[in-house]
Amino acid sequence: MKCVPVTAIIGLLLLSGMILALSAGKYPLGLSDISQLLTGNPPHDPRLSIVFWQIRMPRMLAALLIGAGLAAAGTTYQGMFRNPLVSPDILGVSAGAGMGASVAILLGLSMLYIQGLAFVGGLLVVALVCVIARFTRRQDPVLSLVLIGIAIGTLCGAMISLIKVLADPYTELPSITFWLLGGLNTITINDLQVAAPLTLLGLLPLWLLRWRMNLLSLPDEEASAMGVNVTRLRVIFIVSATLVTASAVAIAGIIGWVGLVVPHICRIITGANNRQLLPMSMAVGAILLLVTDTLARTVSSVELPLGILTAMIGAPFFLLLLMRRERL
Amino acid sequence: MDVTRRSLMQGLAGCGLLAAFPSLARAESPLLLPFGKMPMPGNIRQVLSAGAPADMLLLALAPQLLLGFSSFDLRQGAQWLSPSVTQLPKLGRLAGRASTLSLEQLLALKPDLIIDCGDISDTFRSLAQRTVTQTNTPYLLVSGKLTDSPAQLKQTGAVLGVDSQAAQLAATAEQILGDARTFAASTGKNLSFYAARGARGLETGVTGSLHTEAIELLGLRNVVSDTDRKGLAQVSLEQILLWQPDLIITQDEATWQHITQSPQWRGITAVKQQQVLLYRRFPFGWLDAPPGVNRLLGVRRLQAHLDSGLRSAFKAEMQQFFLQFFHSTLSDDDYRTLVPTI
Repeated sequence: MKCVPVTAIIGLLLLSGMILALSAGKYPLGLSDISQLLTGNPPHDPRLSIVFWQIRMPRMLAALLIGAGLAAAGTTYQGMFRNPLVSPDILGVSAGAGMGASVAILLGLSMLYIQGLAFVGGLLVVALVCVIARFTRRQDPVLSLVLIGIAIGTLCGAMISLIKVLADPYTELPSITFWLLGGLNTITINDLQVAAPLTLLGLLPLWLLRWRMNLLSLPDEEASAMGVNVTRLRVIFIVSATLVTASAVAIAGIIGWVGLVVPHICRIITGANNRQLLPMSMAVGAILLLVTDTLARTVSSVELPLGILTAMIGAPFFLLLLMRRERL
Repeated sequence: MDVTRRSLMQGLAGCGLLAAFPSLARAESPLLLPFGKMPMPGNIRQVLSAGAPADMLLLALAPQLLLGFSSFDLRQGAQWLSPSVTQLPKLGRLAGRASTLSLEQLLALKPDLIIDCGDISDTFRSLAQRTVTQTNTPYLLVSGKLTDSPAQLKQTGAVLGVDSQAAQLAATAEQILGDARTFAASTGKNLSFYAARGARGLETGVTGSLHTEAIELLGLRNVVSDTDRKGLAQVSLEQILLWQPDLIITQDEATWQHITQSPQWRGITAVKQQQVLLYRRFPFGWLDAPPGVNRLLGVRRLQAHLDSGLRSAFKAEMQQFFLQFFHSTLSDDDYRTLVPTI
């Protein structure tokens, strides 16, 4: 009985968010224009077609995809690492992607290379963390991964700082700064054609194995006693979540807080069972990023960096949750 | 007039405020701000440039005194400049914590004077003062506004003892700026532009920023304005579709290619009419970065693009500018490489 209204409310919010995102913006585009465009009739102003199909639609889809992906990755990692402070970039994927993108901008490469190096950088850093973790067998494997991820992430952060020092302060440095702050203003349909299959490829195992995520919150011995291959399952989740996060970061830059805050909000709604928590997190993550991005492109005469807005909304909300709940 | 307790308190508070923030007390900032004991012009043998705009200023005024560039390594790929210029080493910049030249390296170079050009806000003044205190080397801060170029050249030239060279350069700067003002009052004010930066062309300089002031000098209206800031900003393509600038200007090839080839940009009239101008860095930018006297040539080139009456004379003007400001002879072939189309 309780599930139906909550699902209906989330569905309604998602639909409202999509209509708002498609109709709000600097270029005047009314609901009648949208219905005309959706039914395939040529609009009175040919530019409306570009605004709708080439700019707003890819941007809305990217917000939904990235929001859902980051929230799913955050939910997976928080369950797997048994730690409420974990976010999707805990294993250094964002820092690695940031380093890759910064190198590409420093070399004056085109967007294709910036995104490619960001994606590869993110994957390589997580792979490095996992390889180093294999040499720390005496330590708790979960704790080792988190600590190595923090260390390698910090190292990448230092490299990004070095690149910023070397960059031209009038040209490359502002571009690196804008990229690191995240944003969806540069998204094209081509970006989505590459990033969406990779994100969905990462989301699929998370979705299908979400009930097994619950078992990873148990101590390894107990989970193994129930017939689960803990190591293999952990590798599947890390690879999948990394693929999702790296795809998101490659096309949108670093967008913080969504993967950290959304799982906490959703635990209040659904409880800690990942069968319900993961779908709810994906839906709420998609709504949150969609609304935030709509704000980022409408509240000011120029675009506000998305990473700043998600932090401004996410951080106070997180503190509120901390204050009102006894345990996370 | 009665002096009430309230007016007395207001007066005292005002005096206190002005004492605490001296910049508020200055009605008009001078162009040159010396820190430390300035050497006599005849005693200056070596000058250190603190940043890219100062590189441009000193290269124009006194390359014989320049220890090296702060931001340019011209040993490769700048064949159109004379060897005396390209052989100057890149030493690194002085910018507080963002410095790439250490104070120890600075002392080892033994400059008689350090010159920085650009922003002269309290942040840069305090950095200059700190450098003087630590190294005991005099420091000259020059306000880098493009419209002040003639005075910048003359006053800095006087400090360095190169008055006649400075007077020639200032005359050229005055001529370019004067013509630009005349153009601004007639044709320029009817045109709008968008200055594209970043790989997708969606980063830009806001009206009044140093990234676009050279173009705005010609009277062209920057379509991006924000009352709250004067720096760089991100915009969406949707906004550019709405603004429909007459011209799009960029200095990066990757940006130009994206704008001219992407289907998203086809709804913009400037793209349809092939009014997307690529002003490549060579390696000194034409209109944007570095924000130095090099932009005078960019102003002239853009004016020549917009005013067909100036086009035929531009090659000779550019060759003259190269000779005066970069001390290099620009061949006709090199001109065609640098300016494929005006």
